Amino acid sequence: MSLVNIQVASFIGSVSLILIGLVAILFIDNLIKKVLGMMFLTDGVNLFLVTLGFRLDVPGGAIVPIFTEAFYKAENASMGVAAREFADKAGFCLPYALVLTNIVIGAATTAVVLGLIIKMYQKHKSLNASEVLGEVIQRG
Amino acid sequence: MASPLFSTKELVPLFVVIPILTAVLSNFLYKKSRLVKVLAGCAMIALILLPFFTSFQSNYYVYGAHPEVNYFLKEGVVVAFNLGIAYQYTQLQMVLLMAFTLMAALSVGVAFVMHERVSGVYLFLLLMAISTACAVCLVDDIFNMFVFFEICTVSQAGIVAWLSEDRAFGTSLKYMLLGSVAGGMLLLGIAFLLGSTGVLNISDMFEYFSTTATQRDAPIIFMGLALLIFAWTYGGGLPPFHTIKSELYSRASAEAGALLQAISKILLISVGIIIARLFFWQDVTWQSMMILSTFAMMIGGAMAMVQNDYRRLIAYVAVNQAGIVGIGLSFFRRLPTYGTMGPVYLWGHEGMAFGVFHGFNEIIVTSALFISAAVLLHVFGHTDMTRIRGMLQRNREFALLTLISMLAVSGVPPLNCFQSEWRLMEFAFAHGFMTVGLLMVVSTVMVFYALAKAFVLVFLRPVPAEEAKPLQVPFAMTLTLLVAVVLEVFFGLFPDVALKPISVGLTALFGG
Repeated sequence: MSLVNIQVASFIGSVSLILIGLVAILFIDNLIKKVLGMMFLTDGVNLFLVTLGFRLDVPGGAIVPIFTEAFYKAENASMGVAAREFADKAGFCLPYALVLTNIVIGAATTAVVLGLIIKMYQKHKSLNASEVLGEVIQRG
Repeated sequence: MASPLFSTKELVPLFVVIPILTAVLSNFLYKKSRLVKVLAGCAMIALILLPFFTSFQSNYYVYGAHPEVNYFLKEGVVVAFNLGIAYQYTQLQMVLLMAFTLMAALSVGVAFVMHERVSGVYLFLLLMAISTACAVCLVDDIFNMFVFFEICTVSQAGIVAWLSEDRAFGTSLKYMLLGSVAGGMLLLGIAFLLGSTGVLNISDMFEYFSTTATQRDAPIIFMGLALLIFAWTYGGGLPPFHTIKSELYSRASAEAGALLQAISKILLISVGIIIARLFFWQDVTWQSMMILSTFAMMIGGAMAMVQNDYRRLIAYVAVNQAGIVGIGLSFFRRLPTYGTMGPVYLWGHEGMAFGVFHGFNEIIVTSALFISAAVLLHVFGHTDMTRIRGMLQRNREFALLTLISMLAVSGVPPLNCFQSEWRLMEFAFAHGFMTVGLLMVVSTVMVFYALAKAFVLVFLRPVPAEEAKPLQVPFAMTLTLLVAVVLEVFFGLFPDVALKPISVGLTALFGG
């Protein structure tokens, strides 16, 4: 599979995940499935960001953007040459940093939502949004 | 306005650091109610004073635990890592944060009165929300803006859920679920912009779009714009999120409602300005902002008229006012000025300054109205207007202070909202936005009607003489209302004190 195809497949995968997540959050009645939809949505956006870091201009694919001592020794060159070589070959590393942060935020958000769902379940003995939130709306 | 005695740019990050540190300590010391109160009180006083001691600085970098590495190699390769957060602190941020920190501090003070034994966890949530709102206002990096936006969402949901009522849990859950969609869309929009420009710094992106016209018409840029506007509507409480926002304000404890609406205004203004800076060159930006804001204004005004609950009424008034602020924010573009030689197109952000000024006024006025709801809640245990009457007989001072705030939000001269709304309407009529101007007049009448009805029901309806016992309003609540009224009158009489720094700040952000 060529590099272009891999990138296109990743984009299609991320769009699919985002759409599945959106449908689950907006249209599925079960609260746990809504949370799963949230995670699909987050993962879809993360995959999109990772795909942005992909480089097509490096023959054979870009390397992982970690500048290690091993890389320096393998190149058998001065520090400057090794660094330039690294810059030419490494993937675009900024999106990976964003993904890491977003994973942490997603985990925290999911924990809060699950906590709220537990409280609602203890009260209503149901996980159906139409019952649980519908009752809340009626009494409100 | 910076103090000549002690003024430094190094204080900028303290707007974020002080509340976060206090929040962590409050959470840690959650059982020691008195200590937590003292800590939070000191933090809020420090926050109120900070704008007076902080000098203006664009693109101020703050480094975290990591040192800056700026390593120049002999071969000419530059290895530079700037691990930190870029803040933008102009006079615009100073004015907004002055109003916000003052009203937030007063809301925290009222929380001490409303809840005898203040939970450290509750204060943690309040302070985290304050901290993240300050951060969104200051930050100059679009990804950091997303991070603070998300933490703010979780904090806001937590503040409502803290009441441990079934309805509050339901509202928090709905808010979080919708927040996950808005947050995901915001990050996707940021990813599109990163893919197009290669940078995340807002000032860098602004420079890029100002100087590079080749990428502007790419569909990916329009997708980024649409997704950012979607997140903006969520943060500011504009349609389609106006219902959940008004529910959030009214389900929270009343003083928290004041804080939540102030946070929404800060998000609305800050994210709105970011969108305007990044997409100023595209007409669809201001058009979509104006349409959404006009809907919010009309829906908020119409819904306020049919409410029987005082808190819900104020919540819808807040949505209506958010719409007016949004309309003001959309007044940036090449505006036609009609002279004898026909229309002359001038680039300007004068109208936007009026919008920000209205947001500044609105933070003060609507917070005061929420605090008056807190008084009713404190005294009667509910805010159902059909069951409350005779407040004028019971406490004249409280009635007077509430009346002034109600008149202010209705745009009655010489109070502060009159100054901003009048300028916005004048601007709309002068620059060809006749429909929007007329709708603003109609919405002002609707808000006046809704608040007049509330005042008649709650304050003017008499009670039998034997029931008309004087009611004691806690000092913190009276003080909050009094401070708000003093500010309403002051900025009504001297609007330029706030308006000039806002204009200067916008000029710094957009360029002359």
